[in-house]
Amino acid sequence: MGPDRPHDRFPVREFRAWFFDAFDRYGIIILAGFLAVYPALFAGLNQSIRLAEDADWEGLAEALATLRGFVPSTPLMIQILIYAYFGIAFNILLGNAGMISLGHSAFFGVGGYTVGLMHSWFKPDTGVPRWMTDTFVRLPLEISLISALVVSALVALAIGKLASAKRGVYFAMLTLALSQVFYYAAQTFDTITGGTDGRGGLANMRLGSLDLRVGIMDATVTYYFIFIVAGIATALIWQILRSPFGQVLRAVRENETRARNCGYDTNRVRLCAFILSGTFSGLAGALAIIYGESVPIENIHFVTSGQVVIITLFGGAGTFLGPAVGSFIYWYLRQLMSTEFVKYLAIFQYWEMWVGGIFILIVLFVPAGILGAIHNWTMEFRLRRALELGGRRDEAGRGVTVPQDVPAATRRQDTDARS
Amino acid sequence: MPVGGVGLTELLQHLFLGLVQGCFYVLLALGLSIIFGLMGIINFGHGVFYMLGAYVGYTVVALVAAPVLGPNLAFLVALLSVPLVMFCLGMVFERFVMSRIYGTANARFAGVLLTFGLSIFLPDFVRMIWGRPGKPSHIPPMLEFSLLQIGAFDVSAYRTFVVVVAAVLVTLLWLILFRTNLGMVIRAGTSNNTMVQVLGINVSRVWTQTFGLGIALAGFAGLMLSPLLAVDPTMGDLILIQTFIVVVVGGMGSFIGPVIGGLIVGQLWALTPLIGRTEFVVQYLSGTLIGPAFWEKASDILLFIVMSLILLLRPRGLFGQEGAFD
Repeated sequence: MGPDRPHDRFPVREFRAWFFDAFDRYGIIILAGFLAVYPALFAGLNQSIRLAEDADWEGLAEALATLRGFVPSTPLMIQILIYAYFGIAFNILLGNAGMISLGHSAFFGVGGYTVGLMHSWFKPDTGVPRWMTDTFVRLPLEISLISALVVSALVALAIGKLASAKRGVYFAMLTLALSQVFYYAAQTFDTITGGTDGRGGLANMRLGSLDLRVGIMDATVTYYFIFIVAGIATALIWQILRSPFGQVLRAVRENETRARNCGYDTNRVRLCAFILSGTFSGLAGALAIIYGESVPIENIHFVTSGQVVIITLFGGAGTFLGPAVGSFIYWYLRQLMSTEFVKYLAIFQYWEMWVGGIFILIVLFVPAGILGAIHNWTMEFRLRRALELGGRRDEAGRGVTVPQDVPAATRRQDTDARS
Repeated sequence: MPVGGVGLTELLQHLFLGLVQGCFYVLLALGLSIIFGLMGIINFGHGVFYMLGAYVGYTVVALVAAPVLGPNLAFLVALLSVPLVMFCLGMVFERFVMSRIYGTANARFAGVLLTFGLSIFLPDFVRMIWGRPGKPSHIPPMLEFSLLQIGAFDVSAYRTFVVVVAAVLVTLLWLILFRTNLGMVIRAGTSNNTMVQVLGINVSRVWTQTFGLGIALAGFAGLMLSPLLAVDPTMGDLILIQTFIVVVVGGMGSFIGPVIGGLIVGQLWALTPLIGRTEFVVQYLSGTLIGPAFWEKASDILLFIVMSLILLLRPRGLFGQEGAFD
């Protein structure tokens, strides 16, 4: 490991240490910055295609158009954003409390239906009292988003009361079964919900306080609206998970008996986590219907629960931003397969087969997920480096004690895979 | 002789249909529960294995056996070959996929995720092989008659056959579990896996066989149900959730739980539409949200309500072992 090895002339190891550190510290800022300017980038690409066409540079225009096929469009980015946030909300349970819920479609769907139904009910001559419609018309989106939060919290309370006292796989089974009741309800009461066609045609998606029209007419405005709302909610989740409550959640995951002996009512902690996760997921569902201006019944079907599980595990359930990475991969790959790859090989039209197969492989071979694997790799690297710099393994064998004169970037003692 | 607005023969007919439906639930729930009992894994792929069983049955009947043997014999061939094929497929899946996760940190979680991944993978895989639209499946001609017909009460031979076969299978399974060495090992492994290993028994082979057995039951149920419904890649979705309800109602950890649970859920499923035709509903609830039209489609919702009540009042299920899920 001495400096006589040729590749050490360029400080590869120093660079890696620096890179991992930057990834940890600034990853979230870089990601947020990228998302903030994304629609501008995409618009720029479109603009340059138009310019190239006008200037009769056919080769360039064609190349750019091909490139555009491989760049996610703004509506796709809206989808990616929503599911990234949905996955982060879902991961309150999976990554922190260690509870695997297969019923999050209930919250996602109910959140969407709340916004949808309020928009179709709170109109003149539907029998709703006048003062209510008047208030609603003044602040339509604000009121319906807040209502979606309340309604999905109630749904989470109901499901959580029944399921959260159960453990492990039984919890997964119960959440799946209980969430489906909402799907069947949506199907049965089709005079209200629109049945299998979904609740469509929700015109007038409007932010009353800013007098801003969002929805299918303007993808960029919708994108920024969702980006800001989901961003605030994500920051809230981050803060909650950093709080003592988040610590208790992880304590319950690691050793429930011990947490109970410390005086925590673990069933109550699990129920609280479930309600929190359900409420934030309800907001995701409410945001998801804004661009399409309709509530498809698939949103409440358990396929949606499956998607969020897959997204979270693709990215890494043990990391905070894992679901965001997973969401990008999932939707981007899906788009690529169904529009580009399928041109060359018909087998790519069977999208679910691929996603199921890849999912099985991920569970078998990369159980930490993509971001989790990168994180583990970082930690391993730091551990090795700390040992090389004269560190000593501590008694528990989990970390390394490093002398104080070692550079700060390598002095991380935490080797736990979950940050 | 009307019973509150519903004719007696109609009531009998629905009881009979409920019994037939209950038999499918029993077969599926027993498979789910022996796999859970031994391995601690809830097989989320149970529904798609059931669907695959129907497709394998379709292939055996329509493409392999029928042109040579005629539809009657072909159905018998399918009755024997489908469980065998599904048994092998289940064993292959357990051996080459599931067994990789045993002994890892979160093996049960991973087991759920793997079977869940399979439940996403298989429907599209089936679409790729057999095509997107569903396949027709017919009752074999020798069973296409009525044993008994009084008014609306119509005991079809095929449905009776299903009930008889299910009863035979449940008895067989009971014999396997309680009267053979394999069954003894399965039961011992259910209560204390490590101890069985210490006694020098090859547990991994028993796990493979048990998984195969559960899958064979699911596939067999799929084959038996296919002539009553169409064969379709999504046919496993609904029945998986109904099987979960059966397991919650009946309870796990006992043999009788899934059997009684399945029969009860079958009756609930079949009798709910009749509620909509009782005098009370017709007279007082017409025009409301829960009027006659609602009850026609309300079976699924009512099942969930019953499940929630059971969870609140008796969390381990009617015949479940206490603490099986904590």
